[in-house]
Amino acid sequence: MNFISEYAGSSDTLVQFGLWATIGAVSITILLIIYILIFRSYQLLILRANRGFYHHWRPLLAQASFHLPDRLPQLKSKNHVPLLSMWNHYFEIVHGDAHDNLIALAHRIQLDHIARMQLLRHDKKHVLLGILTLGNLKSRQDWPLLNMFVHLDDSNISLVALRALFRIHPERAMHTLLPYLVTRRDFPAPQVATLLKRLPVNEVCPQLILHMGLNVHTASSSLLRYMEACGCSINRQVFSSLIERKPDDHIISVALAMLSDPNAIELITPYVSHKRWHVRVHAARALGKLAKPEHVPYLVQLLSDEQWWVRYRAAQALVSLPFMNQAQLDHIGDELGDRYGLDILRQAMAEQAI
Amino acid sequence: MSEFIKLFEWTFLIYFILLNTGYIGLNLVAVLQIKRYINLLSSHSLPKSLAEMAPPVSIIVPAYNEEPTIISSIHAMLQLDYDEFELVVVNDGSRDDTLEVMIRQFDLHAFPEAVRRRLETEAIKTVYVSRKYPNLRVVDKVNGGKADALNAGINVCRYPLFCVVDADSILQQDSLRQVVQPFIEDPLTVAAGGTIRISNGCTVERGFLSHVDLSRKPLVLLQIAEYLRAFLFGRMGWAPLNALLIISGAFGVFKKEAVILAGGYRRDTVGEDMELVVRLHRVLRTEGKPYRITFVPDPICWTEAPEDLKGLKSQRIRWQRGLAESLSANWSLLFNPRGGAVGWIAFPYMVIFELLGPFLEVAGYLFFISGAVFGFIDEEAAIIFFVAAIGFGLLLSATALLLEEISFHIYPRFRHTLFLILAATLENFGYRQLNSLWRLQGMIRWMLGHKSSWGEIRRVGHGSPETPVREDKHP
Amino acid sequence: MKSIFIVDDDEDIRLIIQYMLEREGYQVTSAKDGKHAQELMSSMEKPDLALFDVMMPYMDGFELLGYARNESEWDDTPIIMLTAKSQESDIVRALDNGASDYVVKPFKPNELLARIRRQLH
Repeated sequence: MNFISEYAGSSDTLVQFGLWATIGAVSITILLIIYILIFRSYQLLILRANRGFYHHWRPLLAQASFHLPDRLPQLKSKNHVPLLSMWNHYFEIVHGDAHDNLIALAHRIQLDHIARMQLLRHDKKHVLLGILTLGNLKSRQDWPLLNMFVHLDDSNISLVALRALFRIHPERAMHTLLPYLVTRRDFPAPQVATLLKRLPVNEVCPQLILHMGLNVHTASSSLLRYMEACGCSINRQVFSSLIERKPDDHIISVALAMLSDPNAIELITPYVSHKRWHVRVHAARALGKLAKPEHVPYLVQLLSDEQWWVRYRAAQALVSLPFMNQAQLDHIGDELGDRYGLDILRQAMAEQAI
Repeated sequence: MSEFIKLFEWTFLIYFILLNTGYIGLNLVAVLQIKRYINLLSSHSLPKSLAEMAPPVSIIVPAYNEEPTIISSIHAMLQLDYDEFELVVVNDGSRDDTLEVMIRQFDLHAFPEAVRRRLETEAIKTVYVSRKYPNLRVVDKVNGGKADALNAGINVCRYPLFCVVDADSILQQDSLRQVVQPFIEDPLTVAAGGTIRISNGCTVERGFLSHVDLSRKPLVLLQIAEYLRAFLFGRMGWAPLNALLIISGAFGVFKKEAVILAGGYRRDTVGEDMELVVRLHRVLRTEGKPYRITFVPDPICWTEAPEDLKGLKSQRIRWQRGLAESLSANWSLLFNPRGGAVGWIAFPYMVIFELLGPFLEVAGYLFFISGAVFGFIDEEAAIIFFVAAIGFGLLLSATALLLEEISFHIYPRFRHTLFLILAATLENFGYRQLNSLWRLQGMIRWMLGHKSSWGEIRRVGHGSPETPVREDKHP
Repeated sequence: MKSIFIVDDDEDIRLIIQYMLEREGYQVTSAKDGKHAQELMSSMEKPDLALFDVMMPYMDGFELLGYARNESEWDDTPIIMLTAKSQESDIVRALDNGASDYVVKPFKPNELLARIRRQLH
């Protein structure tokens, strides 16, 4: 302390400034260290308490996958969230009857109520957990509530809510989703496709095509992409109506990717020499699905394309054609004057052999 | 004359206070990133189905003379908990039997793959596919250094996202799932780094971390404390500003098209991991493309820190050189009108406190010591300088430790906390100063090297004796 | 009493399966990963059936399967593999490598039971 009083009396502003700043810094440091120690002790206590909770509830959930346990321990409110999380984990492990049993347990301990409480919390993680649980519970009465979360700007919450709706009632959920396919650009396409894929292709695709008819000018490209992801295919008629609108190259690509009408081959061949390479890629793939022997020269032409992907897809297409045999492929290779074409053909042949 | 001395005294004092408060500020911004970890109740992970629907990823593993560990590393990576991924191991002309052991263990067969050459690299000799693991391929190429191996991996890999992993990194099983999360949440993400922790002291079995513990070696403990202060929370603070300039080469995921647009990894730097990230910022900013570069704070990748002074010294010298090369290769980002938070805040901060820091720090210490010895500074002022420099350093260390405690607390026991407090305190008495000296050496080497190699392309091979791979990584 | 050996890294899966099997009167031993399993296998009495998860740290289910099939004691023990639904290629690989059957996760407990019964007749 002598040290401090000696320096505090110094007339030098630098010394004064440095001294007080340091005293401030060191005192905060000491407070922080004390806080860290208290915090750690507190945490160890919580950890011990949690261990007891898991010890009791784990076997109960395992048992509840088969039948309701006779007696359930008192559930403390601080264990609500860990229990929600654990219940959902069990729900993910098993399938079938076990789901019904787990749902029965959930109703017995009012897990639906606990899940709804989470929706009011600030922390996004809790909200997500609540939504997920209500979906797994197939809680029809919560449909309007979950629907509200679909409208939120946060695409993560919105999608998890949609997924819950899809669990509760897939057909109805699809109709909730359809308008968003055009307006919500923030939805990652693969995630949306995973949702749609819960429904059979023959239910989803007509709806998507219908919906596309209603939104010709807005965003048919995003709809097309979902159609492709869901494994929809289109016929000659839909293809030509799409092409008639003079769409951009991406739409042509996706439309080519979905075309699976053997009567439409002559609509594909012009795209073999399209100026954009991704269109040529899809022309090659479409030919791979539909080509007859007389269309092979188009694929051979694409083997010498300047773009790697076009060559690769053309080679894969050739190798996969049902009427193509090893000798014919070797012959095509021998006739090729182009080393790149030959390389890629060999690769595709080797890949098929694996 | 005495005015000048006064001016210097003030400059150094203020510099040291700013240096530490700047970092404390970054630590506090880091709270934004970790606040979702802070809630005690939610410290357990979310159900898996909330994390499903992840995009496919290609993992690229550059390998040079990794014969002793490569098999267990690859086995561990094949066990990653992730739906769809491929593993591309690039054997960069190893001189030992790295390739041969892989061929034997994984039943590799040469495959006539027509590789798409989007980035220039040394010649690829053969591509192998595994008959045992359909998602494993091994590329055997002519030695060209780590950056070159990574570029070859980018050429070979198939998915739109690629993940770079050092062959000796130890990954958690869920690491890939975690680090891809930013790409799912925000489609604009072009790069995401994983958080690297120090594995010394932990138990590693067959490429997996089975038990977390603190090392008993003082030098490792000091590095862990330093690591929390400077590399973890200090860097995390930049992420919310989208101004993160460093993603460790030991573990990071990138959008392939963005990296190819920027030109791939540079072969003429020892800090190719950092340089790429700075360049991504520069290219995307100047082209006005919206993007996000971020990182995942969960401790998901573990790597070994040097355990002796010699190893540590050469690592730090190399890091400093890598930093200097990364910044100098992208000077045009500094105060660039389109540079945003990177060009106007992060980059200048890096230049002042990280690049020029060693000069100012060493000069400060020398100035006050010599001033007190030769009598041109009062003893009082010199003592106050040292006390302040250390006092603020202590505050910074304590802040970082607090963040670790309230968020991840990966070291489970009470005694771990005590050891960390001790290390964080002692770190300020000698270790930080020693580091400044090493970094100064790194700067000097960079400046000399820069001159001597002017106009010629300096190739940094994995194999050259002055560049041991193991010390290559930023944590 | 028939004995069954379960290897899975997910504690909850082990608990569910163990509960289900014990209820049916089987005797259950479990291991938490491939390495642990391997240690147990060298010392334990050969079970009537084993259930291996595919994705596990240290040593995956395929390696464990290969290890078991190479041990003369274990080469005729029925082994059922638990595979994740996304990895269809795993199923082919499991059967090619000597697995007796497979079950896809998430699994239906009753289906798993039926498959186990079939292996034990």
